Amino acid sequence: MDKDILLNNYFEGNLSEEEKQQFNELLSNDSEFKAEFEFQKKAKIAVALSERKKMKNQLKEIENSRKQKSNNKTWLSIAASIVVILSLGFIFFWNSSAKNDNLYADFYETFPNIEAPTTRGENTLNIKSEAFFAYDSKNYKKAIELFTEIYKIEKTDYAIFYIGLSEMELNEHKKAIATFSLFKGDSNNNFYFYIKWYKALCYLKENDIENSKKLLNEVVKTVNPFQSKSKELLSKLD
Amino acid sequence: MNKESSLIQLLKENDSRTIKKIYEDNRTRFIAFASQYNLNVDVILDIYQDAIIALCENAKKGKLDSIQSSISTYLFSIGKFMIFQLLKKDKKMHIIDDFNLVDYEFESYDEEKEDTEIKLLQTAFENLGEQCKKVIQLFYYEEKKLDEILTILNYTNKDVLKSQKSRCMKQLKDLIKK
Repeated sequence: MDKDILLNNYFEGNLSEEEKQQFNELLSNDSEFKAEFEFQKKAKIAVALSERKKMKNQLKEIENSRKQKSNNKTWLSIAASIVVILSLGFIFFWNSSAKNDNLYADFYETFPNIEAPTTRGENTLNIKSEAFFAYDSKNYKKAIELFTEIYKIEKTDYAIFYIGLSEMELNEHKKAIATFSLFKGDSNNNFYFYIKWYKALCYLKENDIENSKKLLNEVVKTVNPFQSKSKELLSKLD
Repeated sequence: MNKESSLIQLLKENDSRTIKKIYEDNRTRFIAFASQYNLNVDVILDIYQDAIIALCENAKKGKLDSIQSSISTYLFSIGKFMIFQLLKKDKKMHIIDDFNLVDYEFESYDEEKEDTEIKLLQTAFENLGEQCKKVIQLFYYEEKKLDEILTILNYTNKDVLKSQKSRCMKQLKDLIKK
């Protein structure tokens, strides 16, 4: 019976120092205990694999239903385009600034913090995690302050990127353009295309289509995360 | 309760709508993010799904209870970690990235997947009665303590639960002996 308690405590992560010693002694001297322990360990793994498989199937289903939906969407969008083409015949006036605003809204997505996730209990007191914590909590003013401080010390690219993004979130697109212009990296730099893409969106928001297109045309040229989006946006700007 | 912690609560309850929403909300950005590593979309989606599984699993184990970043950030960092593991395995990358920031504690069990006894145990587990499945799942997968399971499953006392658990494990053992 004692042995059962030891095993349960082990799996609960609750073994006291004394119990740990007992546990290890049993492992080396009591083959029955050892076999039972190995069995439970394997059972634990088997249950995890089983549960993961179940969930994987659930996720695959979500993915498949997406694909079906998007097939339906293709038909819908063909139907929709016909309507659009027909209506275009009647529409002469289109406020271009409103159109750019709409395009911006369609294409702009808040970029996630993919640099420095933070969990409590670790060294969260450093300024980098504080800055990202502010960004994650949508406290963009504070984020700008902290990233600016980081930039002053380190001149790092991620600081430029996230200051610009925070400014965009605060609707300060002119400032964001200036910030993004501080970036001097080349196309091997991870942020190269990210910054071009977001800068292009800033120009779009400022109704400076010429500069926006110029950047988009650069993004389109090589394989990168924003290539297809840039292509799509370019086609809408023409 | 803030938004993230109520989401984590829903993940713990295995709420399929929440899982679907998180899946849909981050999918496009994850693909965009992962495509910089020259992976094709099928591989990326496979990793993305595994990252979602890891997210839910760690939520159930209570490892996200004191998280300070958003769920998206956590999801992306697990995904990034998994991509790097894959690239390392395929010898496409030698960079050692600093993952000390996040406590993943996610074991992929790639080797154990091939173990015959574990394969048998998986089938055996599926064939257990509902109550046994629940007890075993909560104790070994969600890593709940016996005292917590007591409340979740409405047991009157701990000894009843303990002997139920031993009976279930014995059934499991008998099933793979056949």
